Amino acid sequence: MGETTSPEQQSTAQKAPRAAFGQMEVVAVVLLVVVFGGQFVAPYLDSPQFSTWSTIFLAIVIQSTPFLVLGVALSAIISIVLSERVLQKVVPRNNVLAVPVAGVAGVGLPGCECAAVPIAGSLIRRGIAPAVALTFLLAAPAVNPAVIVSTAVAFPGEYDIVAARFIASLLTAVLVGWWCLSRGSRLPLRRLEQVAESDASTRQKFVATIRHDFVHASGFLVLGAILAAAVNTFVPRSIIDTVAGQAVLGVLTMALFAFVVALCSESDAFVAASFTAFSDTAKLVFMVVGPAMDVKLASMEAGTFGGAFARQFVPIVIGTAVASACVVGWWML
Amino acid sequence: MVDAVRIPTQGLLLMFLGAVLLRLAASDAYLRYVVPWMKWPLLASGILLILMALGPLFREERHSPAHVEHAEDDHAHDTGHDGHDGHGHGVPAVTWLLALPGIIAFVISPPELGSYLAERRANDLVTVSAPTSITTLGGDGPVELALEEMLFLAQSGEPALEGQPVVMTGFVSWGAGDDWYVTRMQIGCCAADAMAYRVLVNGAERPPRDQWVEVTGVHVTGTGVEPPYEVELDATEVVEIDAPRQTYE
Repeated sequence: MGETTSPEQQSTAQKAPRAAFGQMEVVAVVLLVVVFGGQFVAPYLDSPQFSTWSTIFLAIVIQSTPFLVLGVALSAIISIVLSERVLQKVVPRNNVLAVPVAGVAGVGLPGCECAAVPIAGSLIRRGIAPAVALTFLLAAPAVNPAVIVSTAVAFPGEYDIVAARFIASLLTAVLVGWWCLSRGSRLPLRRLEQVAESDASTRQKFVATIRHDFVHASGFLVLGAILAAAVNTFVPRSIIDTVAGQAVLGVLTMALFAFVVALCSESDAFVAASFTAFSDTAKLVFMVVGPAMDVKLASMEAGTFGGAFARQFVPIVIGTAVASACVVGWWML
Repeated sequence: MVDAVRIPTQGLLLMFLGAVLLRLAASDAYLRYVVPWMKWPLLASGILLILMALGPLFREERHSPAHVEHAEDDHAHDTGHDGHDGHGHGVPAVTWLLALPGIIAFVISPPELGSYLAERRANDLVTVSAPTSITTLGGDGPVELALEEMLFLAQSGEPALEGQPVVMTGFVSWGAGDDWYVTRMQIGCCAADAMAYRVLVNGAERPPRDQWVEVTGVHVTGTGVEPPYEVELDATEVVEIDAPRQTYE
């Protein structure tokens, strides 16, 4: 992002590090100063706003990192260990059919949305049609058992909401998948290359892939966490409650709120349930948009698949999620 | 322009993040941010991040990223599209942000959520679904209740609550005038989804914000049934205590 040096310049810069005191040494010194000097600075930064922001920021990063690590590890397994033949056997040859299959396959990945991004990337790298991989990316965080259970706990006895969430999320994933399929080669997806050299050992490839995927996604995760924590701390929820009575505005506000607060899909049902003033459909919109797209995911997807792709993909996903949640909500709730 | 993150520096940033996760998980500090069962995932991913970092840290820079990442040109047919714009695919500058969580953890060491957020969330309407276990009421002595349970019993108009002395533990947040609340944050996943559970305490002098207290009292019958669901307690005793190890419900 914003890096203007050409590949040639970059590689010469990398091949000729300043001999005595390179970038790494400078960074190492800075980090040591932070580790040992930080406690002396802390009293000057002691404002409740800032410390609340930093608690929430750190919470989002800490919560997401293990899931991202799990995601990149699975993605490395997909990239290195699974042969293309196995993958092709599992995924139907017909892409129109493969999209719903990928959506239902999302049931098998119990994790937050952060894990799904590198996995989708590695599926595309292994030659799975992008539409199929992206369907999996959208479905996995929303339809897995952990999310279904937590939704049922947050809405006790209201099984229609749990079912509606499952159906609307799956519908969103499949519809967006078919849209991607119809765009075909016009989808401005960044070309994803094999990470490691072909002559490297399996272990080297494995480690290189994990590191590559993690380094590429994690910076964007932190960026998303910065924004989400700011919204969480500084936007009072009572502002949101003022539009609760209006059907259309309520739905749109909940969609926007789901996008900016970037909660993890296993806990967003509890927050949705606490919006007692809103209609069930508006709550459903919150729970369908959140796992499919939020500021953290948009940031990570821009990093993994390219900015041009994210500019098309993000609005399409949000629009589809709102529409399918409204339709399913009108039908079931 | 921001310098590109070189491979050894990437290793350093990964190691720093891994070390921060290990440090938080090894102490109880992680409980301020996430739920208790996250300890083992945090330890495991911290170790993995450090292992991942060892390669680039202790290897000479013989692989430039351009070389490593442009390895297989015969891969083009697999992706099946022409979106390739020939860009270098180096590490994005935003990777520098990886240092931020560690810097925040070491410099700020962010505290658990407290009265600031609870008071900002004061106007949220909190309704509580049935807790997993319900304490049996009755008997002579005061019964210990979680804030969540108290709100649930009050909202459902539980008759056994009438005249029943209860004990609740939480921190102090302030309201309008001289009002104050015994307060507890509940988190489902991490501190980002925190909700504030509060009970208004009558008949006791207001302690300072964020002071942990144990409040004994009797529910004011009829409060908390209707929006804004404000539950009141007539306090008989307020004891100042130290913060518990796990501050979230």
